[in-house]
Amino acid sequence: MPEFAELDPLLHQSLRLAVISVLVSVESADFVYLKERTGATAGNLSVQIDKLQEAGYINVVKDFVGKRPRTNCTITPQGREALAAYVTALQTYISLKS
Amino acid sequence: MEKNLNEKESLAIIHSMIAGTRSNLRENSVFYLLWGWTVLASALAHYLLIQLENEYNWLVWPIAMPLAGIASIFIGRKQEREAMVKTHLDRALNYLWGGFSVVLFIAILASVKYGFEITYPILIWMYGLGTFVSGGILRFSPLVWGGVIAWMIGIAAIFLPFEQQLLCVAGAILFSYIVPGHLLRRAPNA
Repeated sequence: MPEFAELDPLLHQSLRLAVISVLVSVESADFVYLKERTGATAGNLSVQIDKLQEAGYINVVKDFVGKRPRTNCTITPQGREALAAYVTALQTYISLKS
Repeated sequence: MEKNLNEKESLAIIHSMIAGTRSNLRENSVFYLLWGWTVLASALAHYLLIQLENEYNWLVWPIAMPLAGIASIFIGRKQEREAMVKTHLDRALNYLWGGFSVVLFIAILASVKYGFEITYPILIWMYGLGTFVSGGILRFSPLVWGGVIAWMIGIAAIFLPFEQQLLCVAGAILFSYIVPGHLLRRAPNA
């Protein structure tokens, strides 16, 4: 009997999944871009970015553009692997259901 | 409270986020226009100075090209600093045009030793290569066609004398950089 692959709880949340999906498709993205793409509030996005960073799934670099602070995010190899594993797990769920 | 996702919702999020990635096409147009108009003006000025029998006719290039180079670096750095997102296409284009600059420099260096008869045709082929590949990467057909036209002009240039090769440079840059550059400026993002 096929087993249920475990879904990574860190990615199984809509905003974190959206952030990692944006980052897998670009070289790097800043906070404002991620906010626009995901439609999240700044506060919520900030919290979820911190969680993804703590897990080692993304790198966050804070710098300044002129006098404006900027938060630039990139996906790490670990984050890439985690998303791939998450998608594989999703596929097992779908194939088990159908 | 975190919403519990089902597998279809998860896939929909991944799909919509990946599919929604856009590259800012218009930002690229500034480089085609900057180099296009600089090269066009330099080629025509060089041609005109030859007609006027000015012995320093070639001097337009070592003056104009470094100025355009400095402007390009300045604009590129500003764009990179202010960009909210950097896509894989941006990275591919950076490598393409970085490599293009190196080969251009080598071609000019070789011309110093072997003569300048074939230099302009080589530069025209390279303009064609740069815009053809960029057009493919950006899925922007005027650049692809501009590249093809540059190659055709570049073939003709092989059989023409040096002075007329300058007019070929002007024509090639018009079709491969300036026209697509202006069209790119008005294009939606891709």
